[in-house]
Amino acid sequence: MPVFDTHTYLEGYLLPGINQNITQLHNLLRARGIERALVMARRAMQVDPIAGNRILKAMIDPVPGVYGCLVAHLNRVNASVQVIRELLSNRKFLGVYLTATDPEHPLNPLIADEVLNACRRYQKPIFLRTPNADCVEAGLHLARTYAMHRFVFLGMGGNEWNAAVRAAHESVNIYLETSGAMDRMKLTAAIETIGPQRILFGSGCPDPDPAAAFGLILDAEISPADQRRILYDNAMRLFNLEAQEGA
Amino acid sequence: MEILDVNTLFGPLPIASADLSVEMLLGQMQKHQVKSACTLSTLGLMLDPGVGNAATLAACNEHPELLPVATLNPTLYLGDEAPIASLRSDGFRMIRFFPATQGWPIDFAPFLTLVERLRAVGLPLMIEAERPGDATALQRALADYPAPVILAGTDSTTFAEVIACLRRNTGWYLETSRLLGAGCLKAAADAIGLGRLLFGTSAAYRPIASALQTVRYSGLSEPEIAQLLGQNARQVLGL
Repeated sequence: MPVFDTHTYLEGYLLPGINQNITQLHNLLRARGIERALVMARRAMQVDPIAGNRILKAMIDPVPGVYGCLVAHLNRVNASVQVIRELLSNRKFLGVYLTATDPEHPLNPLIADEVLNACRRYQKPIFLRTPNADCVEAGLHLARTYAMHRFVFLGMGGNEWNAAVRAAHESVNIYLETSGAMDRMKLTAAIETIGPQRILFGSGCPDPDPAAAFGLILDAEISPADQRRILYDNAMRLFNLEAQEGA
Repeated sequence: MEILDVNTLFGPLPIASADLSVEMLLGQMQKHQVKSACTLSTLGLMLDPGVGNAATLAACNEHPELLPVATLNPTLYLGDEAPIASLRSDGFRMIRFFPATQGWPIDFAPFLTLVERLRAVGLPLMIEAERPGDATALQRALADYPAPVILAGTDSTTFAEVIACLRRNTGWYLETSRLLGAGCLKAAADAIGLGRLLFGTSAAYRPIASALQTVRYSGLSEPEIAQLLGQNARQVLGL
């Protein structure tokens, strides 16, 4: 069964030799049977959005099946808007990840507005980290305000995944990414509430290992057809890759 | 390959969306060919150690593949020595503490009192080391403890601290249920020795498949995996 990991990171891990460059990360993913992956640059999140995203682009350009998620930092709005205009039209960048200084806290909607407006013309999914219910609530507000965007909730609310499922139920432009709490119950509950089409497999690689994240799917009581949707088909559709690659 | 899971639980758990029944735990174990598991009732963790420990013993008496683990809560401990002294004769294989889950610091007088009393019991202790600084503080609290000490709940945020503490304390072990980062198991084995890693899952709450898949892709050899999944725990628990 093909696998698309929609949540991986370049650099910033505690062990060397794992994800310091795209070759290491790509080898790790391939060893676990992952065909395609979306990569975010820790350097862009934690240090410099312009340099981090540019380095990521240079690294992913020659590697088939590896795509970028551009990082926009709300404490560096001007730099983020600049790099959105510079890179987001590139076909290798499939989405935009919005972050701020403390990813455990909800994004400020007033500051997010400026970045989201800059993203409008590209029509690529917006990724938000949602480690708790407060972040889910802020994400729901953005999803309702920007109905033209599709939002991916990374970590689907953490231990408060019920809030993320509820938000996705209320707003059909919200997708849930499966990392976060390693709770065996959450996927079946999410499928029962919103169906399998808006759930995306993601790991947060390298921590946890995608193999561990895959174990959550294996142990969830869901059908093989739903497994395939979550592991691959939904991401291909969200990123419009089937149409692009068929053209 | 005989798998022994040192970290399982059953019973009601607020963060889980359903009660984690003994049958659910046994079903998960059977699915993944886990032969035996150390377990405890969540009643002891979340409510009352006395009630929980009784529920644990009842479940383990009914299902011999389950090995009973006692839990104690220092915030509820008023100094009664009798329940402590009988833990070994009651059949418990290990004692667990949950400072992060229950919200108490390591440098906490009732915990230190309990540890003093548990020295005479001599059972292995498993204790959460989830918060930065907890493993370091445990070095003082558990200095010269006469039985194995197992640190649980360690993830990448406390990995460096825990490895430093384990290097200093050769009678200490590391439980692996939260050690899911790529390369972490191999790095831990290289740093402190494979013999000091004990396989755990936090089933029935967490998926056993996640822990097993992490071991499978850890870079350890098949004999090393067999040692990690069962042999180490049997040795530590004296089985």
